[in-house]
Amino acid sequence: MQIVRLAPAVFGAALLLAAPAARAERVFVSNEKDNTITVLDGGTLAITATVKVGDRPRGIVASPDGRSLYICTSDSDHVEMLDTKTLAVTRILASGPDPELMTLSPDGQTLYVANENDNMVSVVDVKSGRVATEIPVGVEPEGMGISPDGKVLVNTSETTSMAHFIDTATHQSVANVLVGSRPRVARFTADGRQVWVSAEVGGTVSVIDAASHAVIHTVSFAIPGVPAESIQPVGIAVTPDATTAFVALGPANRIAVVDAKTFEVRKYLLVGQRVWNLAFSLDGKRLYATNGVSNDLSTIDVDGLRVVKSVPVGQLPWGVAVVP
Amino acid sequence: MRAFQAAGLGLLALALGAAGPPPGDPDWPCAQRLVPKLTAATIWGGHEAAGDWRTDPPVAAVVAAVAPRGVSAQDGAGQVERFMATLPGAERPARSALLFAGLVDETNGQRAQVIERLRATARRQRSLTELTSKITAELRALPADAPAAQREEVTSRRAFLIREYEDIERTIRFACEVPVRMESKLGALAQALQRGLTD
Repeated sequence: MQIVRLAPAVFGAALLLAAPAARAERVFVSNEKDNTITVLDGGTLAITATVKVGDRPRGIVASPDGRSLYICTSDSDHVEMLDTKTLAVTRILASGPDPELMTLSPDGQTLYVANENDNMVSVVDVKSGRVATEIPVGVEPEGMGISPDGKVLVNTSETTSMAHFIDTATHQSVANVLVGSRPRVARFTADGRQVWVSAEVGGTVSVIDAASHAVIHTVSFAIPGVPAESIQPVGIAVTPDATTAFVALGPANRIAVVDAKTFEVRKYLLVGQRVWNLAFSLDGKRLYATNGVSNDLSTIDVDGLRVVKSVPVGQLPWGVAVVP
Repeated sequence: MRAFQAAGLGLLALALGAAGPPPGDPDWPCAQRLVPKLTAATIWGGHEAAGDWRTDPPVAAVVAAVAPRGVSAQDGAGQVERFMATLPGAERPARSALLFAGLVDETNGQRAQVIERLRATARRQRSLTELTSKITAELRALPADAPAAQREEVTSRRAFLIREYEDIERTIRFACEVPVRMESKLGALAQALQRGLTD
């Protein structure tokens, strides 16, 4: 006997269940296959522009003032700076080879870029656009997180399954923490006390105490009817009050809602196919998620814990960032 | 000597691949972790439906028309929507469930063949790496005064293997997208069914 579960309209459909609220924000999505950035109006989620950029854009991050968007154009081997008002690429920054993910210091002056192919983290001085130094890390560096005070950088290495804690003043590694297999994303909580690290192959999220570097909890996921191999945690977003964490589970097509105090999974939200990276709206009431196989962007009502709308973007959407 | 040592390292780097296979699965050459089988619940959620889609001839006919790889997601979605429009509203939930079960089954059958071909390719690459290492050792072991023809013959065999390895490596990146495209089509068909349920 075959059992199939059907849902009321949820998956992938361009549904609008709530009237669009006025939102003075724009959402930027990198499309890895199209070599473009899709720009959407935060209120209507209508596409307002599609910008051609370098080859294979993946990780994106906005400057603190929202005027610039930094784009890892992996196959072009550099970082591009997009003016978010004129939507022109105004600068090319050195990055080391194959930049995939990066993080920006809280003062906006330093980019830390993971170079997947040469086991280095490049420290890029934004002002000069040059690589100031390189930090040797584990094999296949990937995820990049920075503490709210900018003093600690966390880089994950896919092959060695570690989160490397790096002092940003000395560029020395101060701790190497074993996490699940193929770690992807590292996120500090807003209070800087914890780092959440997703493991794509391990299927878990490690919660690390930022002071002691001890893994204080490992979050596991199980979804009825969904094979364990499909549960591949990647993107993480923790609410500013550190009460709820959202974890994108890749080809499980779900975002897990995790109680950040008890580490219990409260709910799984069905979104598009291969949900990848996450970003909150500026007011924290919405969560945006890129779906790499269904080529759309899902939006989630953070308080109501429901999928509000999914809108098509480019081919293979990867990163997402929100600017005023 | 230094040149082919460098080439050997290059080959090893290719074998390990910066975006190489996930750990623990040497026969899977793609960067994404292998998901051997898709399930309906991975793509849909909600109430349950039961039955064997093959016992419903009209449903089986749509599965047969839509599932083949040559049918695009767009064309398939159109056929699914047209079929749904022919059904009385009360029948739609159960029969769309049957139809989706059929599409998942057929997609899994096609994916399994592609996955096996990718695995065979990975095994071939491993064997090429081993052969290249042996020939590299053979070349290194040649005495300094070995006849030029003998050195050339070994060098040529080695170059042939490296070329074959590199050719296959280039095709793997595209071949790895095939299972993903199948998954994407299944998602598009699920959306079409969903539209048929809500229309």
